[in-house]
Amino acid sequence: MPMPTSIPSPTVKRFASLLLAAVSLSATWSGTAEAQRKSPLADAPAVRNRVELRNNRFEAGVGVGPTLSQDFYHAVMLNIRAGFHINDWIGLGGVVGLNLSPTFKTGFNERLDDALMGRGNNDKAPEAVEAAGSMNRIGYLAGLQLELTPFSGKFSMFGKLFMNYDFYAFLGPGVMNLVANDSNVPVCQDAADTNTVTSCAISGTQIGGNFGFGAHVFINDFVAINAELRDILIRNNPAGRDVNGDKIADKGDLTWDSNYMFTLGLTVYLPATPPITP
Amino acid sequence: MKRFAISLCACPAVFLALSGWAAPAFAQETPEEKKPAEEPAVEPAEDSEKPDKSGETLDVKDTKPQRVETSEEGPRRVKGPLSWQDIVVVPRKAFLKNKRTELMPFAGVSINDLLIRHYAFGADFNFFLTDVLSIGIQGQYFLKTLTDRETIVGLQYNRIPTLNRYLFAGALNFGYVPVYGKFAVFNSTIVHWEIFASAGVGLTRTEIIPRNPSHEAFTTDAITPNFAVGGRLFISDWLTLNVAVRDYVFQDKFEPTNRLSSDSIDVVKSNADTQLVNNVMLYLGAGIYLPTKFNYQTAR
Repeated sequence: MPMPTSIPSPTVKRFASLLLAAVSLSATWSGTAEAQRKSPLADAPAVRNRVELRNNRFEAGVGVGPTLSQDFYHAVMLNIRAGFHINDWIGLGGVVGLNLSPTFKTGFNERLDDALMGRGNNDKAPEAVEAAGSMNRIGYLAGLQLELTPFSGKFSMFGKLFMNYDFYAFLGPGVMNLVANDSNVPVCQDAADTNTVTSCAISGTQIGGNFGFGAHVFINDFVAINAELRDILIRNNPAGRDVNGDKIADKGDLTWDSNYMFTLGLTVYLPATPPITP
Repeated sequence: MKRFAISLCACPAVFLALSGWAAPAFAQETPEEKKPAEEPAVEPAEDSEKPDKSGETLDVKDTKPQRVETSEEGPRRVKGPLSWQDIVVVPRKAFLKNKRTELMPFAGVSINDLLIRHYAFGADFNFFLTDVLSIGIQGQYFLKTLTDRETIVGLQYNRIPTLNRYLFAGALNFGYVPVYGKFAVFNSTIVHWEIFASAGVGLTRTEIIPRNPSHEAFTTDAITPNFAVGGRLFISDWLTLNVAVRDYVFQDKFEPTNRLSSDSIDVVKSNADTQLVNNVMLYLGAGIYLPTKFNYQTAR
């Protein structure tokens, strides 16, 4: 006997419609209820009783570090910085630095010197003394900066040593004093009108930009180790020779030049006791 | 009829599951709105030497929070909506790497050469023996560009620098994680990170860039120890953002300065100037972890 085809009766159909409607309603209601249930932590800060290590505090520090990727002379800079933090994430500060190693040649400079020593009589290359004379190096630097500290936290080292730290970036005007190797080399003119000027010296104070980023690692509530990477961007011609191919050395050969430096130092915060959030 | 009734009941069940109605409620009640738990409180065991405050065996895999209620019998744990009493003082690490594999494609750039810059593209494949120790292999391919300083050396000093380019490199590396930390972004979001140190040994193939473009070039395969320091930012359970500085140290062979056009390539290579090279590279990559999920082995 063949199986009868199942055809829902009107009663079953009505029951099914009601059931589906009830299910839809309950799903909607539960979703709404879930959305209305609010976590007691919804508006809470990420960290309670947070030690605000920068808020309304003065900062002063000293650091030492080398320049990076200089053309002819490395500079070991002694930097002194000071500043004031308006709140825990914005501050104003300044820095001054002095070059402690004015005669520290780069590897490229030494190889160039060796190559020019073997100069022949009809060689178009400059003599080694002439080439070195128009080169310049860093004398000192100074800068003002706005500091932004978006990240601060805590880390553990080897699971034993726990320290607070922060990460910041800064931006502002900067100046750099340049010193030519040979003071007898004439200073570069705005536009030399003769092609006999094959070298000139860029020296004096150049104004530019000062920016970078760094981190503080707090030994305690008022002393921190500070590591920083800074760029002083100025117009310069480190070689003091033709750059733009017109065979004349003048201020037309100036180009924007980055002076990167890494500094490691110690920073002190005052007052010694930081505020704590509720 | 029976078949229709069964399918009728199955449809709502599927619908309920999809709508999340059966999922545990993550929203919390405020203290003012706290209602008595619908489920009966679990009574502590009477004959147990150690009072079982939970009234049930603690399942280490059960990460669902349990509310503590104070009663005449003492504090009791009752399952219910999440509340502030379930917040632990010291949260667990947000990311576990033990017995997981990391695949990290990366891009890098050389940062310590004044005359030539290399861009690297490759991948790291690491297996974590523990949460802090890893072993892995690395492979990368290099593309070179000459810097502005290299371009004007000839103009200023009538000299052509002697340069080498890197072709590719591979290495076997070991890693260790000494530092783990977290930070708050404007005190609103917490992000976890770690610092790793790595060391290993591999091979680098280099090729001279002849000062006279018509001269033939030769390649050198150099054993290359390397060491690195880097960091990982944990984005999700299976994804990290990695940055590292790695120094490759090797003996490279450069074109001799007294090369004659008539010299064969074998003679040129035998007369090559050998120099110790430090190739410092900066890398940025994304770490993809497999399996994509992990389980905590200890109680919360």
